[in-house]
Amino acid sequence: MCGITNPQQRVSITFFEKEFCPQCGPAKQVLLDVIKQLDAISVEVEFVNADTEEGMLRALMHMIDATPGIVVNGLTIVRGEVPTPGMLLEAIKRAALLQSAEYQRQ
Amino acid sequence: MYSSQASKQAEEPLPRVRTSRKRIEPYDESRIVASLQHEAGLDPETARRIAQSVTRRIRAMKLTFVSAPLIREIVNVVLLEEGLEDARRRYTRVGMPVYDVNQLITYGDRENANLQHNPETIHKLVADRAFDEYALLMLPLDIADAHMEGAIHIHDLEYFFTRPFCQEHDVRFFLRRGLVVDGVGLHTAVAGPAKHPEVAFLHAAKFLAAAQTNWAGGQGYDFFNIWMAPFVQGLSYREIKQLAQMFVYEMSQMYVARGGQTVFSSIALEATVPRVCMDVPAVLPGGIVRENVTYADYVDEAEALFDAFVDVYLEGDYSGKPFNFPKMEVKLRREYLNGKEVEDRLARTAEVAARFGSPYYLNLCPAYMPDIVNSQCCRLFFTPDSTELEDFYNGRLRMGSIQVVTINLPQVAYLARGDDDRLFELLEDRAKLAKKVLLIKREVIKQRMREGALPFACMDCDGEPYLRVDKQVYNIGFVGLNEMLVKHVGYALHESREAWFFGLKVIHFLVKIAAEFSKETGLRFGVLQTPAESAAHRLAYIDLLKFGKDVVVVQGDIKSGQVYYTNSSHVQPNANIPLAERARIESSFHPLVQGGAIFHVWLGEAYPDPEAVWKITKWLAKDTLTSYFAFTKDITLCTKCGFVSGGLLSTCPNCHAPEQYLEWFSRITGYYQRVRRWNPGKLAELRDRQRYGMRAY
Repeated sequence: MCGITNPQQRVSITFFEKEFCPQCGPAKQVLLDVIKQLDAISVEVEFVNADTEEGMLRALMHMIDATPGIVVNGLTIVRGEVPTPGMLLEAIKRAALLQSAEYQRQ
Repeated sequence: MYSSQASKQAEEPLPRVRTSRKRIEPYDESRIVASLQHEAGLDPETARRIAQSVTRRIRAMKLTFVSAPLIREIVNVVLLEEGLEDARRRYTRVGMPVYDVNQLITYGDRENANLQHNPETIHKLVADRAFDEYALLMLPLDIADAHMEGAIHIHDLEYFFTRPFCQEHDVRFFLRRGLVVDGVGLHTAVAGPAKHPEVAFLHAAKFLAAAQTNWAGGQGYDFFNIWMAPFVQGLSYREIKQLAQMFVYEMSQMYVARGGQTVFSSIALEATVPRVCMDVPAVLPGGIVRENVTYADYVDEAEALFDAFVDVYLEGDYSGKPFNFPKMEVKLRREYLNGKEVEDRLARTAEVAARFGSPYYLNLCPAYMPDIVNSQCCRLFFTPDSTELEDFYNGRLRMGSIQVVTINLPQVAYLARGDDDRLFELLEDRAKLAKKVLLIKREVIKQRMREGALPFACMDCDGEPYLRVDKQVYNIGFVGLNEMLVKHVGYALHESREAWFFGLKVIHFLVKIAAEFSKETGLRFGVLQTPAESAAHRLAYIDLLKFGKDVVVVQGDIKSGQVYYTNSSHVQPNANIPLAERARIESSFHPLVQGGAIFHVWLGEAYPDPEAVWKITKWLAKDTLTSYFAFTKDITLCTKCGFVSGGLLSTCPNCHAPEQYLEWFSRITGYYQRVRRWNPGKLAELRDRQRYGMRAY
């Protein structure tokens, strides 16, 4: 958890990675940098090892067959590539807004 | 007392025998003695004892005539009474009751919807029954029982002892070397390498028909428009389309294979020459290969041929029906889906899908799919290894499946009674049983090849037999994951993420076992989604009888016996969920089952919007893990006025003819067929299918 300022804007991120995955390190760095910029949104990140059977099968449930994979609030954003910070930031903000809209409807 | 009765019996004359040589001859006990030694392997003394006992019984019947088959049955009874079960298995007959033959002659059979009711198929069906029985007698008892108890389903049992399953061919093989349809060139004419375009296409048609005489299942060509491209050089588009049309008509009209069926054929088409083919040396008219002439030099021709096939499929046949064979397979590659001209060319296939549902999309976009994948038959994929990549380069790429054995997953759940450990133990047992069947099949086919009983498969291919038994795929399939989950986890596949995850675990478990089998044997074991045209109904019905309606979980209607299990790891056909959710759940299994998979989109509208169909196609290709999919459009043909319309209608919208004049067509499993010939399980599934409108997209 980091940067909890607005309880209505919450984002849960799942990051799927593998040990021998050349793109996972850079992708993870992009993710961590982007999260730092998200003061107004509460972010929860789970790192999942897709080398394990459970991790691999969970990745498939999100249509991820190559790492790195990033899922934001159940929405698959990245499959097998390093995202640009801008693209990732945008995706997370959109997910947070959707979440917030959902929250207000409830 | 006994001796006096025996002596009295000895006075009774023996009947004359109607022999299987179609003669009437005197009864001769020594023939029984000889055959018991020769056929059943008995020692002379036991054979004599059995034969004497048989003679005593026949004498007591006081018959004038007896048939040789009846004598054999009496011998079998005596063998059983003496506890000689193995000898009886070797000595018994196969065949069928007169009543059943009458039924087949009068009504035909519904097990395979591809069979019309005609004299050829009646012969095939009688032969099939005999061979089914023969297979169950010849297979080890535990395997035969497992098939009959529905633990496993051995596909194409009637061909188990004579034919391998399916094969993907390479047209360059006969374009280089000419055509020998009987494999040896003694029974039929031998043709040299084709020089003219018409001849090349006719050779392609005849090669598949010839192959079908040796194989039980689908016969296909990969990269069809690429390898044929040099043969259409210099022709106008009209001429090219004429050739494509001729080929499609040949394949959908030669009504000659396996008892009056068309060849179960498929052609894979590429929207342009893909990168993998660019550097491959081209086989030119006359079988010539020139240095530095590759398929990169035939991009225009390959594209024109692709367009021509799309046009032919879009027009349908003269009566306005879709062509059900050859199955039209369209490859989707990332390099094609780039918003440019090639994509426009591909997008036209969506018009065919919207109109007839004909195309099958083989999706090479997901990361886990390699560049060269053959799809085949109903849904089998083959990924080439390094020597096969050499074959790809040298014009002799060929792959196939030797046999499919399906595991009945719901039955495993009934027996496990909620215990996870037991469930996985049983799964492993079933997989081992399947492996045992597949290894027997391997020996059977090798034996048939040694005996010369598979001449086409044995023909020389650059120093090797055409069929390489040890390079074929040994397929383990499965049916009813959905019903297994309902029983074991308490939810259907689409009802909970827990069920979905457990389903993935079950299939991954099978994949791991298959990988162990491959390691252990050096053979290619592959898990696939079984097409299960008849297995889905047969296994559900057996379980219903065996476990009762309170235990089983089946789809369809229990009262009428129209029951079925959901195919493979599909979501149950009647699940009322959005298409996207169905696609995500089902496609999550595709990377695991690399032996082959399919995702069906059942279209709900009579005239879906082709643009929407293309949009969905691209979404499935890029954003899901789907490896192979097809849109199924139900079609009604009025036999009175010839009008063809979308949907399953009960009145002709044109001439208002009632239902008895209407023929429905739909995709039964991996191919289109007339609904009237479907089995009860598949008919129930047809009613249940959740159809999707494209308007929303």
